[in-house]
Amino acid sequence: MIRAISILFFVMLFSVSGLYSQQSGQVGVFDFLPQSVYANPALRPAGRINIGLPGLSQVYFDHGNNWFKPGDNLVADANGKVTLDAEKILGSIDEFAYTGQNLGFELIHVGFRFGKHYVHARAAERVQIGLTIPKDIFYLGVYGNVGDHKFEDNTVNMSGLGIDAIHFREYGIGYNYELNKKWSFGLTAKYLYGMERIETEQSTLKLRTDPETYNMQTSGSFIVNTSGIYGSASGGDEDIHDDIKTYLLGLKNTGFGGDIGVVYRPIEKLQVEFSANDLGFIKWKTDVANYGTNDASFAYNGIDLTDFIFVEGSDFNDAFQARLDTLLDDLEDAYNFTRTEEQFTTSLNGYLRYGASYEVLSNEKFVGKAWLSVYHGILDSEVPFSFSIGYNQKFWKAIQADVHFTKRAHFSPSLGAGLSLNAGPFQIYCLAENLRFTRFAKIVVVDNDNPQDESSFVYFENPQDVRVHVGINLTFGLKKEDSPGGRPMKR
Amino acid sequence: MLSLTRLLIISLLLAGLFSCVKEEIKITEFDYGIQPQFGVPIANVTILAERLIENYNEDGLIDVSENGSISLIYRDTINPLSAADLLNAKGFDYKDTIQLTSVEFDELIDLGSFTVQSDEIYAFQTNEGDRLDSVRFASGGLFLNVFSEGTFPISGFIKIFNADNTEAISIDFTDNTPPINIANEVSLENIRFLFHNSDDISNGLRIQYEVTLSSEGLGNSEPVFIELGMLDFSIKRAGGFIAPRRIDFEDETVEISLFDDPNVANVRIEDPRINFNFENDFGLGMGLFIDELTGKNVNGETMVIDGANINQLPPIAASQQMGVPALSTLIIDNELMTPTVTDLMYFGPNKLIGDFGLIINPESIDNVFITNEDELKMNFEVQVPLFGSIANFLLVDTTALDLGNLMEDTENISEIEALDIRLIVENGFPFDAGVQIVFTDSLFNPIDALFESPQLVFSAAPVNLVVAEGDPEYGRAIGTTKTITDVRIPKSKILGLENATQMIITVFGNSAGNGNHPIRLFSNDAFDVKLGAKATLNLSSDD
Repeated sequence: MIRAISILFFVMLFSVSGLYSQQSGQVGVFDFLPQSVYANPALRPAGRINIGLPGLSQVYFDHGNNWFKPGDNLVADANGKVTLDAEKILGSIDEFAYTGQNLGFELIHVGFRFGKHYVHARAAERVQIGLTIPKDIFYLGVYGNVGDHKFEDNTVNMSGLGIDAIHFREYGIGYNYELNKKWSFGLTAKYLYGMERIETEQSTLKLRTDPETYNMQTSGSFIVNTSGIYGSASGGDEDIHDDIKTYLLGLKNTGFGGDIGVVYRPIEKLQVEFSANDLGFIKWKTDVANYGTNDASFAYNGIDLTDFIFVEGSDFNDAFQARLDTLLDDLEDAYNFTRTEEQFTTSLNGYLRYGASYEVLSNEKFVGKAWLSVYHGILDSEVPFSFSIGYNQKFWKAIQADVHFTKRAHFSPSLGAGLSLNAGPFQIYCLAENLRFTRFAKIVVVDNDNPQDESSFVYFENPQDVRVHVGINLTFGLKKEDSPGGRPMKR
Repeated sequence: MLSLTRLLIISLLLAGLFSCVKEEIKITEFDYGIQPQFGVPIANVTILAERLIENYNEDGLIDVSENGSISLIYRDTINPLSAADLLNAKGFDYKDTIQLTSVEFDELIDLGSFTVQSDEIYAFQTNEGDRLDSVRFASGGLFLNVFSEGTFPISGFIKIFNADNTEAISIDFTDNTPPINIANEVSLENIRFLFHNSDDISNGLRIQYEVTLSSEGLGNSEPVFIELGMLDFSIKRAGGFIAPRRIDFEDETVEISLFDDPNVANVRIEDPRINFNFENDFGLGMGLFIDELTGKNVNGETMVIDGANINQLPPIAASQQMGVPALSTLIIDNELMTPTVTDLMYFGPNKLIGDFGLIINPESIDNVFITNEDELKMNFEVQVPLFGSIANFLLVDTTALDLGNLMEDTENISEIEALDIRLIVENGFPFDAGVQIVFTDSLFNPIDALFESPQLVFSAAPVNLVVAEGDPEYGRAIGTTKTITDVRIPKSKILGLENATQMIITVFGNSAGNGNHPIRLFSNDAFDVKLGAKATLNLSSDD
């Protein structure tokens, strides 16, 4: 039991849905941070020279789970018997259950401003994993295919079931130009180096069960493409991880991408932003494996005994075994478990961002502005619609704080906050979309046979839309930029 | 600028404000709280009536008529009647003795030779009354023996003449060295004899011989014995008049395995037949006369039908052309026999024994022909159309049971709370049937049963009763009846079968209408069974 529960939570922690490579909605507002250019390449950080501490300048963590909350879904009695409230889980899922996790590490970030220009260069390691489970699969697990739940047309619709994962490195060079006081433009060009990929290209599987005869019929398609997985899974010579140099620098999975943005200040205190981010693709060529079928039609009506029903003894056994073997062959043919090696191209999850901010409080020491931003994916992107509205306040030149409200599609609304602290050039920051991430549920599993044997796990109490950015930068030239200009007057 | 210390304090305060373990959930027993039900099809089978009958009736044949109705045929093939059996020709065995008188002896001594001649018509032996015109032999030999203890050399000839005075066979002989012992043989292959037939003799052949004795002085005259006979002959063809005669067949037995099971009771077969099938190569007709039919059932009881209670059957046709046999089927149906054939079948005989005779050439046709390749092939059969009714049939079978693997798997699969077996039957047979399975130990003590009480599981298909009973479509299934039966087997029941080693399967039922009216089974009547299982899982227990 311990193992089962362990696996359950492991899956929930590390299984992921949808490649939501989206940054926190408040990143663009934090102009103290050099990472503000991620929101819009036309935004200009406050520091003249910005250097991210290698590997620590931005650690990004994103976990999303729209269907499971330990406190709500695990009901405990006084004796330690815990029951999973399946109905509640089902109630929290609309059409799909999403479980996802993204991790990003900025390897290096350097930016500097000269005149109207701002240039930055960066490299980041990005890992995104996603698992999308249609609600019908949950119904299937809770009720079975012939239980109390009536599936539409007696069919379990597994369309949309998918696993998507990517690990790539991004090298970017950004340029930002302040045309005048009203307009700024920016773009970032990226070179993408793919390392591993799992992509669900097609997923339209369905399983129909006849309510009377229990005859089963599958249909639809399911195709998964992978790169960098087959070699290590099969234990053969193709494992790209065997040679670290090849793995880090020598793979042939390359691509290009970019961000482009514009900032417009129609009046002094108002700023309007628009950007298109994460436009790009990677072509996967190394250790490629494709599995699946365009036609997963298969019907199982039981073993047909008509031809040998009257045969007895070993002849019957032989005929039965032959029929069974034929059935298995048909199943294998239908689901096409044979690997092919076709190269494939995947797009990044591009998205558009619209932002606006208005200074509501402005003096020498305190600058506060209200802001809002909207994200949504473009084309096949899985970035969901997200809306944020908040207030950002600077204290002196040392603190920038933010509080905001975010609603992201498929997740419940959340309250987020951010804080950036500057001690001279030393800058530390933490931005969170969902303050509930700090609250955890600790699950302790006790082995009944050996009560001393305990395993414990910690999980978010409310795991919906947990996004956290933390990092350490060195920023220079903040004071100079904000000091009043000219020479002091002498009486 | 804030000092680092102040920054750290602020950070810790903020972290402390927001980070805390909200709650601890301790799990000593985990309940998934769900009981999903998964259904899978297991097997399906479609049994056509013809296939079912084929399997059940391994010893019989199945006849499917043009409209698809099925009859069971139980047949006894009788040894064919050959030409030799028909003619029963024995050939001839001619003997004569030459004994010289004293005068003839003196003449022999004086003249140095003496010749004795004979010419007479001798009968070729066949059945009494036959008057053959000709016989051609396929094989065999004609032997001539001449022997004498006398001392005089002998020479001569013997000839057989046909009725048209042509010479059929001639054999010369001589022996100069006493004692005289002459043995000659000639082949009869393809030899034809044309016979003399008159008031005095039938199947006659003219045999002529001449024997010359030689002398060179005194000698000893002893009788000379002449023998002329036929060896191992076979007749290739014979023509003429074959006298009517009877050939008897006794204890010809048809095994009717349908009635081997004593439980097959209360079966009433409508319109059964007893058939005699003939394939006649001979160019002469025949007649069948039944002396007696005896039905014997598995209990040893008999039911005898005397030949006098069976109407005369039509003749067996003769072949009209050499090489083209004539086919005849003589049918005894309910109208020709008292008691009827239905009554006989109702008795349930698993053996039908016939004593009968074949009358050869009953109409005394003069000119008939037979050849050695001709045969009369015949069989004696009982035709049981699957048209009738059966009430309260009962079939019982016992089979060994090995649930070892199932037990082991069930104990290991603790999540299975119950198993529902679903049986979907689309019954296109005009039979109601029920089944019961009783699980017993090795001493046949009952442990458990599939149903609490035996029940009719499969309802009969609807049958056509609208047309007249004599209509071939009367009693035919005209649709199907669908029955869905769910049998719940809780885990406790599966585990309870641990000691079961035998399974007694009982199938019972009756024809549609509780066996009160006849039904007819057709070859394409079908019985379709689908077997599925629904497993209810209990994922509540903590194992």
